[in-house]
Parts: sequence; C-alpha cells; structure tokens
Amino acid sequence: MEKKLLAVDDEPTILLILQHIFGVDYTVVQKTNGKESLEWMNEGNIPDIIIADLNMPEMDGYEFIKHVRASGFFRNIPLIMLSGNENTQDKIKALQQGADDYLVKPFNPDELKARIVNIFRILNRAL
Amino acid sequence: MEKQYNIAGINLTDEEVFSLKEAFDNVEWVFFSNGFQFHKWMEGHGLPINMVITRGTFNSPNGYPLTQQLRKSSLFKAESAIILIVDEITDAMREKAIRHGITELFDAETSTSDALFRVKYLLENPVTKKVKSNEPVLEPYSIPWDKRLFDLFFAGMALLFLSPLFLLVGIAIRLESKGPIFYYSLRVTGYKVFRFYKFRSKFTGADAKLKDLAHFDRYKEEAEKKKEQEEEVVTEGFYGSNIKRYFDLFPKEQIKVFLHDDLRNDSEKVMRELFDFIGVDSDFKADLEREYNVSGKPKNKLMDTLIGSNSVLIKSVKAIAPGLIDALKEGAAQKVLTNLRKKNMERPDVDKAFKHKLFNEVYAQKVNLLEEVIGRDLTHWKNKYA
Repeated sequence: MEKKLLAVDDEPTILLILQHIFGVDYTVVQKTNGKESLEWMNEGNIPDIIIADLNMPEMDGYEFIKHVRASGFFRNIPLIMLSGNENTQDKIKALQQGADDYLVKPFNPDELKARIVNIFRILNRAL
Repeated sequence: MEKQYNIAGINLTDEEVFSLKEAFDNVEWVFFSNGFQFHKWMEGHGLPINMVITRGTFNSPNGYPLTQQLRKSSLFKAESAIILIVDEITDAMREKAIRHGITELFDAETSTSDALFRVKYLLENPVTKKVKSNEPVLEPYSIPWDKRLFDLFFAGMALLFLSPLFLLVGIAIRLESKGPIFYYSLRVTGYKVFRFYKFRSKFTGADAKLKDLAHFDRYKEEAEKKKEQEEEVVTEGFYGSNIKRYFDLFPKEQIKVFLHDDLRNDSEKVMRELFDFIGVDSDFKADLEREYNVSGKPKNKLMDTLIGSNSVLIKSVKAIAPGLIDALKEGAAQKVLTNLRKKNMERPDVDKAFKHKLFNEVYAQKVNLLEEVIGRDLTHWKNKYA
C-alpha cells in the first residue's frame, strides 16, 4: 500500500525539495495552503504524514493544525511544522496547538527524515 | 444467491480482498481506501453494515480513530464486528482495542484460514446476540377441562338447590340495612382481575371508610405499647449504666450499692452495713421476715385483681376510707397481705439456652461496666452463663 505525504507550503521551491527528498518512499501530495489541504482531506483522503508551513495565505498553519486535531479521523496523523520563523513563541504556539514537531527553514533533509522516524517510533511506543 | 451480509473492507491488500471474496458467497462487499471515506459513504448511503475489516497501524486513521467514530455513530449497528489488521499485536494494543470497540485483531501471524474462520464466526454470532438460557420455558397454567366441567356442574347444582335460601338471605339483607344485596371486591385469577361477588355483610362503602376509622385500631396501639414494655424490661437489666448515672451526679461516698445476692446470702449483714451507711444505730434489729415487692407473674388472675399491687379491693377501700389502709398496714394485716401476694406469684420458666444467649449477647458487656462502676468482682454472674 502506497504511503501518502501531504506537503503544504506556499513556496513552490519547498514543495519541490520535499518531493525530491520523500518521492521514493511516499506519494507526495502538494498543496499551497491549509484550506486547500483540508478540502482535499475531506474528500476522503488520509495522508500518513503532513509537513506544513506556518505562514500561508487563506488559512495559516495554526488554523490548519486546529482543524486537523479537531477531527476524529485526522487527530493522530503526524504533523511537522516547517517555518522560517525562528521565534520561540511561534514554536511553542504551534506545539501547543498540536503539532508533533517544528523545524526552522532552512532545514537539513536528514534531520527531517530522522524526526519523522522519531515521531512514528513515539506513536508506536504507546502500544 | 441472495446476499445475507454487508461487509466493508478498508485499506485491504489485493490478496486479502481476493481470499475474502472467494470464501464468502453470501456477502455483499464494499471497499474503501481509508476509514474516512467509508465513514462518509456510510453517512450518505445508510446500507446496514454487518462487519468492518480495516487495515492500518493502530493509531492511524484506519485504526482506532475509525472505530471510535463508528461506535459513536447511530448509523453503525452496535452488534457489528470490527476487525483491525495490524503488522504486530502487542498486549497494550489488545487492551486499547477492547476500549475502543475493536472486536478482533489480526496480525501477520494470523493465518488466512484462521482469519476467515473468525470472520465467519463473528458474522454468524454478533456480539450482543443473547446467549440462549438453559432454563426451561414455563408454560402458563390453564385449568384442565375435566376440572372445569366438574366445577361448573357442582357449583351450578349448588346454586340451583340453594337459590331459595339465597333469596331469603337477600331479602333479609335488604330489610336489615340500606344498600345492595351483593357486595364485590376485586380478586386476581391467573392474569385477570375479576369481581368477586358475595352477600353484603357490611355497610355500603365500608371499604372506603376503613381509612377514616384507623384510629380505632387498638390492636396496633397495644402492639406498640407491648414492644416498648418489652424493650424496657431488657434495658432495666443494664444495671451498670443505670447506676452510673447516680455516680455521675453524686459523690461516691454517698452511694452504697447492694446486690440481690448479698441480701440472699446474709441479709442481716446487708442491713447492718446499710444502717451503718445511713447512720442508724447498729444495735437496731430489723424485721426481715417479710418479703416485699415479690416479683413474678400472677398465678391466679382473680386473686391478683383482689389483692395484687393494683388491687381493686384496696383501691375501693382507700376511696371510701383513705386512712383505713394505712392503719391496717401498721398492724399485722400488711404481713398477711404480702404473704398472700407472694403466694399468688410465680416465676415463669425461661428457656436455659435463651437465658445464656440473652446474657452473652446483651448483658455480658453491661456486667463489665457494672463491675467498673461499683468496684466489685462479678465473675460469679458471668460464670453462671459461661
């Protein structure tokens, strides 16, 4: 069964980079804002992991996290925030809203991969 | 072939779909790539689903979040089974599975034949289906026809032959008091309530009046009084607590306690001590021949009425000539009277086992208190019932 990675960012470059990094292991679904992503999910698509930007038009990262976590189906999907904000307050806010991790752009692809592995490990450790 | 069951398969592999479809020809299948899609379909479609088979890691949207949503939904039947296929089952997962309404967990270790067997079993035995009881079913009773025939015949005959008498009774009732000849009350037979007729013997509306006349029920009052008295008889024997009240209120040296045993053993010694205690000249000799306040139950009721402590005779004499009784008491008459009274008293036999029970369950602790209060050893009391 093919795994799906949802990449949400208004910068096409970042989407390209993510496609490049994860294209082998995942089907990378690219969306440019939170609203678009939620619409796609509500059509009946469930990604295995979501990587999202914080500052986006239409629906920003915080709002997006809130919607995902409020849903009965989506609340357990690993969610990593990718943002240019190095501000600690932003990190805290995102984590409090329900993000599983927070990485500052520019990022090291290996670190992102390691963090994803980590999230799945933690998720399965509870069982 | 008509389809008996509807099963939803979620995120299943091609092999799984194939073997399931092959194994069951009485199942209508619906397949979805994830639980969310199925949930949406279920809400729009409304086809009753007998089972859900879903694949995914336990925490993923196809795992327990899906089953949580399904168990909450009114569209999903409570008795329908949910099977979750995971890569590996852990103990914690089993526990969580029960909590989240997952009926069965399969993993890579589960063989295809086992899995298919379980699916078949769960389809045929939904979880909430009641287990059949081994208790025999009770048939409602119906009267046998021969008994019914017998009853009707003899009752009919009796009615026929006694009807002249009944007529007379009816006329008599009519003449004696106002109201109908017949009276009925409601009775229950089998599962029916019916009117049970008889000749009226009470006033019309007597049943309704019963409530208003409750205060005339002297039996109830008497029973309560008797119970109170009986309780008093028992508590009167709690010497320890009864005497303690005095010790609490008065100085110890002002109280002298004698036991009935003392009086029995050496009445003169008791009297000497008593006189000494209250400061009477110890040379004074008391007359100890008479026994006062003999207790017991009257042997002869008439005799008791005449001369007992509530004597009608003495009371009436007192009423006529108040001084006379006191005057008589001064003389030998009192001695004669108390002796007569004593002779009319008997102590009722109390069952020995009951005495022991009463002592050990009610009085034993009280005796300990009494020992403490009067500062005397009462082991001989206790030994008596040990």
